Amino acid sequence: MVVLLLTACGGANDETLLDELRVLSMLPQAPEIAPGETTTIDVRIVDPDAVGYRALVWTCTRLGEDCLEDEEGRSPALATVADGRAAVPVTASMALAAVASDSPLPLVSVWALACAADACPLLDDVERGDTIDADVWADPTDWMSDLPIEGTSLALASVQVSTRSADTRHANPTITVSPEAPSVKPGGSVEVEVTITGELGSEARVWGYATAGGFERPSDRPNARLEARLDWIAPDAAGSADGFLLLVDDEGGGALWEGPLTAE
Amino acid sequence: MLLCLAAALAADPIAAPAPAAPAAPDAPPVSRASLPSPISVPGAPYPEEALAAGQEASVLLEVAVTSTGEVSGAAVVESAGPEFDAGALAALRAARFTPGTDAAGEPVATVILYRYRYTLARVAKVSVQGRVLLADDSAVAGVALKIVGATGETRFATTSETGEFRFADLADGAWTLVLESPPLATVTTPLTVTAGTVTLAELRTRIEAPERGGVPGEVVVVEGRAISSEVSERTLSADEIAFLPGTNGDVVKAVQNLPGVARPPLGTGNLIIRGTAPEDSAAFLDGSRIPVVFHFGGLTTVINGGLLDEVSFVPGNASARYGRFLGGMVELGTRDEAPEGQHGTVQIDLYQATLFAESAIAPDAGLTLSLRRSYADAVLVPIFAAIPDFDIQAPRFFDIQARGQARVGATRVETMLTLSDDTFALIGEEDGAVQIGLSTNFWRGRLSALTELNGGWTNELRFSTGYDAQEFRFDVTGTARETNTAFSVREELALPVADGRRVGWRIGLDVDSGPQAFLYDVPAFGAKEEGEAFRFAPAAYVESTVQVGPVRLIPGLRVDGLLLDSDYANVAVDPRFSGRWAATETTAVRVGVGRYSQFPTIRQLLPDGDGNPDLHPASALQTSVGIDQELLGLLRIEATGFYNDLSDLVVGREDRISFFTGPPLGGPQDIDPYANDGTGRVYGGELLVRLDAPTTLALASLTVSKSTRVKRPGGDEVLFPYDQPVVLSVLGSQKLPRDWRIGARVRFGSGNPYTPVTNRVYDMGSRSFIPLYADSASDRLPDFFSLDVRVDKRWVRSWGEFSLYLDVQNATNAQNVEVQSWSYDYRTADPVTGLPIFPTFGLEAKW
Repeated sequence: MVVLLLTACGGANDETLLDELRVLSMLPQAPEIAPGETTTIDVRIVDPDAVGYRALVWTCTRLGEDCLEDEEGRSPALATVADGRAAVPVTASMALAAVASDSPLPLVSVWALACAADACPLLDDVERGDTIDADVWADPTDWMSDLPIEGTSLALASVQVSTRSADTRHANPTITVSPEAPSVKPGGSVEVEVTITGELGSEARVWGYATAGGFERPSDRPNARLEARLDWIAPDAAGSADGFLLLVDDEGGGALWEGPLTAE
Repeated sequence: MLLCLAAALAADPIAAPAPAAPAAPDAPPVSRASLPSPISVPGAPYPEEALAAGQEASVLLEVAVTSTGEVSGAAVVESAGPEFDAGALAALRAARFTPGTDAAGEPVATVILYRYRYTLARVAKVSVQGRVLLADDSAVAGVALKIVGATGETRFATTSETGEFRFADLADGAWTLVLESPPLATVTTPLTVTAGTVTLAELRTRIEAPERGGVPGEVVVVEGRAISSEVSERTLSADEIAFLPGTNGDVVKAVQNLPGVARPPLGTGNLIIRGTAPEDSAAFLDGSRIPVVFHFGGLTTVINGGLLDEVSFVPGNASARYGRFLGGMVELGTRDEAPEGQHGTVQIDLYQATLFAESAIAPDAGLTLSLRRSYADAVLVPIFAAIPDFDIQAPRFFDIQARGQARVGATRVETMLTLSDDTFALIGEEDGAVQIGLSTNFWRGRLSALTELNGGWTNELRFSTGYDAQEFRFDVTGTARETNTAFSVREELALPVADGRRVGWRIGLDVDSGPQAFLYDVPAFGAKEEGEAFRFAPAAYVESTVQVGPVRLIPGLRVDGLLLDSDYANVAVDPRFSGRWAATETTAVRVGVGRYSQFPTIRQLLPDGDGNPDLHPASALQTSVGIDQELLGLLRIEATGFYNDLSDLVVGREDRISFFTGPPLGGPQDIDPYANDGTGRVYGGELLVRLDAPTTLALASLTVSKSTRVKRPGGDEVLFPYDQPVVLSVLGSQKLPRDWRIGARVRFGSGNPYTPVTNRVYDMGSRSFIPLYADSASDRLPDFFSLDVRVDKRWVRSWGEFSLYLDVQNATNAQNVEVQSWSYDYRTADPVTGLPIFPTFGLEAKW
């Protein structure tokens, strides 16, 4: 046990470096919706090596082995992705009114699949308009194992559904970052301060990502003044990187900042 | 008063000039001073190489003789070489003299010179010589022998410390060599003596006290007590085992070279026996169960080897005397007899120091003390210093054993205290709090009496009490702890098969009881669990041994019970049978079949601990067939086939934190409630080939096996996490001139199964990757390879002996993968490798 724990202590923050195709974030514009309402999921996909990709986003409200959406008839289509961004509408079925309560429940799962080139035959099927078995959408982990690990990225997010009145529902906070364009000498580090506006759930973290260099720690908890700090460690070579600071709380709320990180 | 004389003496005493006595004014100066005269000087064994080369020699010694004629010390003044010197020293230390006297004729302590001669003429007079050994090749010292000629002429001899004996000047013709010394089994051997030649005889006997194994021959005795009585050729000695490479001189670790034992993960000392988990096998100290056999990392046994008389390894089909486990067992048996004289050992190596001392305090009574403390923490500090933000406390371990023995009439009484403690901790540099901590400790106190009763029966009564605890601390507030207080009693009546008695018995009660508790409160690893209960586990067993000609049949029955407070009660009935057929003098066939039951843990049983009180014992139906063959008197081959059928295994709640003994298999977990739904099977073959030449020991063991499990009815049959289809160990040790010894061991083993990751899902809520696994245990880690080498050098001195050794484990620095882990995003495998090249340098002094 100790040996395993010690091995876990090393190589800490590789996870802040974005070096492959990845669905980085899926933030609902309204993190909590009522049955019958629609919100938009802002999907952010990063492709640091510019391999090119297609993306598919779909929802599934699980009913045992199937999705409620399949009973109501649907035909998932490829998401339109521009500059790594896609805005995908997600509707909570009216049928959820029977089970939703005052407490928000993560009843609607939202899946996003990004695939490079020909890595995912499923996308070809969807593109051709082929009929896809319903169970494909219910549990993509069944077939994800058959896809190559390189060039594919599958991500899962949830949308909270409740019958609470609109003014009491959880809303997304916003964040501002200082400095606005962090810059430091190659190999050096710079502190980036994140200031949060709005309400958070009981647990929240700010996560840092960069396409070069890396953050010293992967995340930081906001303090009482709703501030969080992360240190970006620049690569040894001069250049710029794309930086991402993502706030996530435990009630589905969140906010994303992205901007340049410069080593000069 | 010490009277110092100098005289050059041969084997026959030579008078030396008497010292000048002070003159008395009124009397003539008549001195009555005299030198000691030898009464008996045992014959030293003639070094074999010198004998073969026709080399004669003499050793000049300084010998201190007490006023009662005993030798209180001896030292070499003029050496003839280590082997000659050692033999002469041993002979003189055991010699008896008439005491020297002073001028007044009063006995006084003296120091004399004595020349001990090795002459071929004297050797030629020896008619019969040999050794008395137990079946595991340990020597039997101080046992009386007689040899009876055709005319009724009878001679007597006593074996030396190395078990050697000799008879000289016997008339040509037929003689009968007899060993008759209870509790040793009587051995009678006919011999023919021919003038001018030395007849060699090696007697193999056994102790007739209760046997500990089940299937004869299935018990591989590493050191000590034996199971058969026969005359055979020279074979492996316990002393040689202690020099095996890779064991660092630890006798118990030699077990890991035997067939049936898989390579433990991460270099731990866990015993993985016949495809079962370490927790499914058991370790005993003189019949009382102990929680661990080895300290951290499997470096050292928790009991000093100097206390041990035997280490019995039973891979399967154990006697009805033992129970409450599914797999195999190891029994550490301490010496029955009280120490004679005063002896001690000091051992120091790179990570531990040991002091061992024993002393006779009266005839058949003695005290023994052993202390050991590691300083691995100091050695490893530079390595751990690389971990930021932490200080290292330990790892360190210590153990203590104290023992007193006495014989009172027909009863041997013994009391023993054993204590073992291992601790490791990572301390936060800022707050001084334990971030990660692991400790294992136990103590046992024991009082036992072994009484020889009428009719050959013996009665063994043992009381034992103690406390075990293992604790894991994590992230300041997290604690996982299991504690166990043990009160146990074993009462056993035994009647061995011997002296024409064809039916033997073993009847016993084995009661274990005490409070037990567990606490798992590590928030990072799940919800808190806590529970405690008083355990009462009585057992009764009966086993009969029936000898019908060359066939020995051993049917047995064991009944185990378990009661936890008033919440749980269950019983397991385990019938067992084993047999051995000595087909010829060199060939034996053995067979065993039996049921072995293991009760669930209290954590699995207690409802308040998320357990299931409806669980019943898991069981194993163990079967094995084997054949033992001796070839040319040098090779011994043991081949065994086995099949173990496991049923009612407790499965479920794999998401719970536990004190696991090896790397997790990975893959989806069975998180359903505990149930007796698991089944399994283990089958395979084992081969042991042993070469015992005068100066060479070679041993090869091969295990080919498969171990599978089915967790739930209708589920897939998957490989057991410890399954290793091929395990091969080849080792050799060569004795060289001038007390050098070299050895090497090569180990090969199949990699453990693991469940590979095929892809991953990124969970936006936790911002982490969730692995997607292939079929459970569908891949294996790379094969394991290790070369270990060892060099020893010994020096014999007047006060005892001194030795140095270098033991290098993994001499080729093979990067053996122990755990398959992955990068944070599961894109790349990130294997954890095991022990790198690990040299150990040590010294040992004995007196």
